[in-house]
Amino acid sequence: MTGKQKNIVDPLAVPGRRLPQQQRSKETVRSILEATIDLLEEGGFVGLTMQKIADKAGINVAAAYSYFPNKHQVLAELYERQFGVIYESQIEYYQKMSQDPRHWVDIFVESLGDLAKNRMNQRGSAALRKALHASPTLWDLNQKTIQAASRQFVPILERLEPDYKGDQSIRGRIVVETITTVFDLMQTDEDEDPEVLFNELVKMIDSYLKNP
Amino acid sequence: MASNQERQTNPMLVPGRRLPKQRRSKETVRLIMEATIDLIEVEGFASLTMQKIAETAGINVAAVYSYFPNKHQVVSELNNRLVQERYVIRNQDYEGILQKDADWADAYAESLRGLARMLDEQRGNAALTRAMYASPPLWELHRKNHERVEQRMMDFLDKVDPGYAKGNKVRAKVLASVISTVLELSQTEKDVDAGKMLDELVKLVRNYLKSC
Repeated sequence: MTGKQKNIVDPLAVPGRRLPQQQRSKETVRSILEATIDLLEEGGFVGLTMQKIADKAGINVAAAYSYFPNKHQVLAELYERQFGVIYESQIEYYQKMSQDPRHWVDIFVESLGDLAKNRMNQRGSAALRKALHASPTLWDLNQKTIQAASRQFVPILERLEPDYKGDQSIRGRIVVETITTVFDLMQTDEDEDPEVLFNELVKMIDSYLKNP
Repeated sequence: MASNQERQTNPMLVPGRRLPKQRRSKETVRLIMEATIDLIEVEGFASLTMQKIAETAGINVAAVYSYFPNKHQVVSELNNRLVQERYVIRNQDYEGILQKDADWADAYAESLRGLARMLDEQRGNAALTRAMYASPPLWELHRKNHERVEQRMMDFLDKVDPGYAKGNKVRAKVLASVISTVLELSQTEKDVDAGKMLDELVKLVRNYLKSC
């Protein structure tokens, strides 16, 4: 009973997940994640259950539970895979920023095009972003991901502009928050062309970073 | 039966609230609001109950139920009061900027400092924002607030910058989203230096408006 109570307090803290090594297990996890994306796109987070995920994936619910103790952790795994990774291409852009003769901000802004493309093409990313607000645990995860991305960006700012007068860690955070916010808008706003919104993001980041 | 189901899934749709006209009733609602703020500041929204609200307010739980059918609608009313208060003051800000000769982009960006101060001073605001992140029906309400803010910003930009007719909607949407993300962040995240964050936000908004 106390275990159940704990579930409610912090579903992500419930132990019991094991990461698969074998090919067949990996395939099962993949089918669980794919089924979850389908269900999120159909009905959102609220009606999601482990049983529905198992049915959709065509597996036994016990198999689903053997990898994930609850739906929050399925979403956390999906979230990690989609937003917790740093792309190779982004690291290449970061290296280019200190070597290329062009203004580093121009190169950074160029990298946003690739980032946006990755995000928009990722299956289920819009549904997953929407689910953030249905689950406090996912929201916390989102905050941690943003913090991690900011931490990665700050040393680059420090190297490129060592004489900056303000607080670089806050500057980095503002940039990451702004990008995340406008990407979300691009995926969720039904009235505006994502490309037009993206152009505004570019203008915003470019004018902010170039005028310290 | 179907409507019953909908009532269960969306607590905002439950009918039964009557708005008090008499002074004594208004006082009771005020007590309910104050108690709710105290409770969500300490324990958050998840563990809030009508019983706790009644006990903290020092009134009978039946009295609470006579005004609000559930805790969601108590929090909704609290939200409406805070939003309305900001609405009135922001309108004055906008009028002031329209009448001034100074650069409107500078004036607008600087006006965000007043907005941040107001958000900070409104009792219960940070806890309310956190509560809205955690509950889908409250998040809906949050989105409606936000649409109103966007609309108002659009009207303001149309008046202050008539030369930029086309695309104004996009600009207002991007601005409103980024500003609320950053201001909510300063409210809800304790390890962020809110003052420095605000300085960077003002810079971001000013530079962006000038680059449009």
